[in-house]
Amino acid sequence: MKKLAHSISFIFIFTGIWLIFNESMAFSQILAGLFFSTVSILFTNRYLLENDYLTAYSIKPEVLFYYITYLFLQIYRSGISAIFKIIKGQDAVKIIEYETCMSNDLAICLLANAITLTPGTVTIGKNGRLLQILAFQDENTFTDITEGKTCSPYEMILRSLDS
Amino acid sequence: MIDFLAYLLIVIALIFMSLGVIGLFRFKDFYSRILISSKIETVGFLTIMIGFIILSGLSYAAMKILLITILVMITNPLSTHAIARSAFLSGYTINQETRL
Repeated sequence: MKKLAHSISFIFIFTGIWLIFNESMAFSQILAGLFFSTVSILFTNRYLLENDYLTAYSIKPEVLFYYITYLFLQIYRSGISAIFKIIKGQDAVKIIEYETCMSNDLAICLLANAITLTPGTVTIGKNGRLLQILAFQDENTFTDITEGKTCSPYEMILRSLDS
Repeated sequence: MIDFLAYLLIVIALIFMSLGVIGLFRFKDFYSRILISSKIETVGFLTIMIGFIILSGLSYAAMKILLITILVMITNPLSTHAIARSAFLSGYTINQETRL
């Protein structure tokens, strides 16, 4: 019951999704949404996750907002630069080994996700804090570990998940 | 005016997608092709979906499109990652096709 109280925000989010898909705000739909959301969270906590749902997916809303905003801008910036590469025919690629300054597994996965979503970079491997990134030759957002270590802007946003 | 903005975004998305397809044919290496295809998936898809959301207005349809967009933005990197990683683990080297 205590766990259920902690998952209340997720229950409301899932109920919202249920109502959107059913295109109805009827009381019966709200009840059904609350029921299925609660059951899915309990099932996920009990059988699918090793840790508690909130422990595994704990992310502050302001961090998520900054992450999505920066990712959105970065997607378009890289998308436009990729157009010039297509026109010029610059298809030289490289594989970078990049060690992230974060230790939280969720934060590293969000970073890998952001890298793959950004046009011109794809994460091809993750070994602990070490990420293997496929990128165009002139990509310099993620400095090669051999060239000195600095945190990328994504990591500066996601670093708060470490604490 | 709002409809014009929506159509403009859809046209921009189609331009992005067309350029991505040109890139797929223009680039000869597998790895550079996968980098360009991820551009079509993200920039093109995101822009066209924003266009559709604006066109739908404040409705259930717009919210459904938004949910689909979020879902695709979460799952899209997984497929790109899986394809690139499988090629990398299979020993596929950079510029392998251009060297042949």
